[in-house]
Amino acid sequence: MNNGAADILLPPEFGIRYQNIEDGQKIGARSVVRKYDADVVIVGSGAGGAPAARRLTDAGFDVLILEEGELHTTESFSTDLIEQSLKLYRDAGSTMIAGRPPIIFTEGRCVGGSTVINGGMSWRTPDRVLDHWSRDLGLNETDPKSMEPYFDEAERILNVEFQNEDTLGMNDKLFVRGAKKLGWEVQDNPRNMKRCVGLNNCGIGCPTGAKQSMLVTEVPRALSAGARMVTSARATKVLFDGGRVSGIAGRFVTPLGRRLGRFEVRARLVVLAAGARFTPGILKRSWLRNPNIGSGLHTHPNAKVIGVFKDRIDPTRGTHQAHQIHHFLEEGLLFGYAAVQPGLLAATTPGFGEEHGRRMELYHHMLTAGVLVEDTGEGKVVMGPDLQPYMRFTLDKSDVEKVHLGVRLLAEQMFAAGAYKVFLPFAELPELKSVDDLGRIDARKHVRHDIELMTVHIMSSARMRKTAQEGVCDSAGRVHDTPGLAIADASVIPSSIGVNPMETIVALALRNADRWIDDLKRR
Amino acid sequence: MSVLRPYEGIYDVDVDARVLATMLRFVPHMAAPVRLSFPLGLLLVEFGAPFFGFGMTRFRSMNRARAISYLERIGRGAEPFRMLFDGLRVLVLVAFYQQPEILAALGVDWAPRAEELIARRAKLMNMEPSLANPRNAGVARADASRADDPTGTSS
Repeated sequence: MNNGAADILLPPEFGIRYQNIEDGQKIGARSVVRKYDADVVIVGSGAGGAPAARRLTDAGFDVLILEEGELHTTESFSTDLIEQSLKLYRDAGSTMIAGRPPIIFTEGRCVGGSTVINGGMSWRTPDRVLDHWSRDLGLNETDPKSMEPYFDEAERILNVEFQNEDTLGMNDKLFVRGAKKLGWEVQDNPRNMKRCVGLNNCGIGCPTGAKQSMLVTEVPRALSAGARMVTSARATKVLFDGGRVSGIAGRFVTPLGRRLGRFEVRARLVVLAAGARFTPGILKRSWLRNPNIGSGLHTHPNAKVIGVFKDRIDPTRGTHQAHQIHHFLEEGLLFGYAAVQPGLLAATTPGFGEEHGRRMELYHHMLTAGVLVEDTGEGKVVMGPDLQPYMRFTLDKSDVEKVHLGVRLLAEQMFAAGAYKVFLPFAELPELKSVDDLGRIDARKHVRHDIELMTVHIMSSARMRKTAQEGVCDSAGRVHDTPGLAIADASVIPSSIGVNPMETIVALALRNADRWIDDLKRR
Repeated sequence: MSVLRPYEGIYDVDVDARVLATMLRFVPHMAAPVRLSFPLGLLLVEFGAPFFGFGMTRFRSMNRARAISYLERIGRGAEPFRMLFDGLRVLVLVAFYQQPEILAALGVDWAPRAEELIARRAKLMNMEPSLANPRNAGVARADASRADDPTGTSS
């Protein structure tokens, strides 16, 4: 007789076994000092750390991965915004970049890092950007031809696909319709997924397992190849022996950041992959003197525009972002759309009380789109009085102009798609009622203080440059004048890239890891 | 909270206690500057009326109409008042609109769809790739089969 439970089919990601993982919270009290040895220690398990770990493990090195967050497997994911935010996001998604205007920033803090909570957009670095790195900045082998095999490899790892027609929602159709009416070219969005079924829950973890984040790809691959991982382990400073880096120290922490015991890892190579905020933080806390650490921060800010339509859209049905518009990429503007949970949409919709409630009753009639701006201004990562890294960034004049141009174009697209009103990200101009109102965006004083911005794409805070006078790392992500220390995350990206950065981070991590393998074999 | 959340029509649901509980769960997880400014925001709203032309009165003693216009005034005010107020506004609205009764009132059915789509994907992943994934059968932008797979699902 059949056992009914045994017949239930589950997605393959539900069966992944995570070997060689130790939970730092179970290791002990504050008095504990746990010592580890490894060939390579990698801080972070996201888009940079996990592929580097796999590469180095496959090359025969003993790799230890430290992850500040916890392991949350696919089967534990849900559609509950509150629960998922508390589990998967740093600061429950409430991080702010100080400046004019302040920018909301979110990143993952869990095994798999931000790849667990991103939209899965997998774009190669544009050729014009690679040419700039190679020709103008003189970074060896960063030209399009040299990078191509690494992008190919990144796409194999991530299983990059285009969306199937049966998962496209009405919001996608309207987004495409508006662009086509205006004669704009629309791009199919390559995404790291394996047969996405369109739950549209990417931003808080994919419960179907379709998104091929590091949690279900390179992390388990590296672990099954012999790498080890310690979770709830926050690296705080690099250790030195003579003039050479000899390891890293830190504390085990609870999800709320309460400090537990200490740890020390001795290794031949320390790789920081803690993201563009925390990697420069660790460098600064370790008293590295290079003044470029933390400077050059790019934020790729995102301004939201919401079109309201007479017909019901059902934004929750369909995929997260099957298409993007790169028609204005040369001007530094990229357009996309997303379905967001009511709580998040409410937070970014103007007003409160009954008036706000009436707006939210239109939830199923709203198409939420955004313009991402390739920023030319540069910010900084600085240390706060609590010895934690904080970010400062102020939009420069040209970026303010770009935001206004992008919002105007996006609003025009919404009206072209049939919207009867459009919500804007400007406190003093929150709403347009017809296409004739577009001029009000031009007429308004282009001030920065009342623009509502958010980002998930910070980069370049420990960037690659030929010399220590110009940057933090060399063209292989090795920290200048600091043997034994390298970086594998968005902080090494030499300049603003204008597209979603995950694939760039993966490709650079793979490329640079090959060079570190050669270094380790030579020593 | 009673001024920030709506009550009319579909929102006529008693969820205030749970909204407050959700907010209190969030606060310890928030970034230190935001967490530390949370009580400042509350104090601003409670005692800030004289700075916004509402006389020597406390927020809790205002009637609803007056409280709404007072909060609107803060929301249009200068930094850092606007930011402190906006932090409170966001926290209340996120917590309110994610309550199950409110999601149901808005007709949002993400949770049951998740169960249905997990089962659908499991079924599709068990099928011949050209049927399960017609657009990307076997090959996406690069040959995915070359990436070895701990799940054993690479084609």
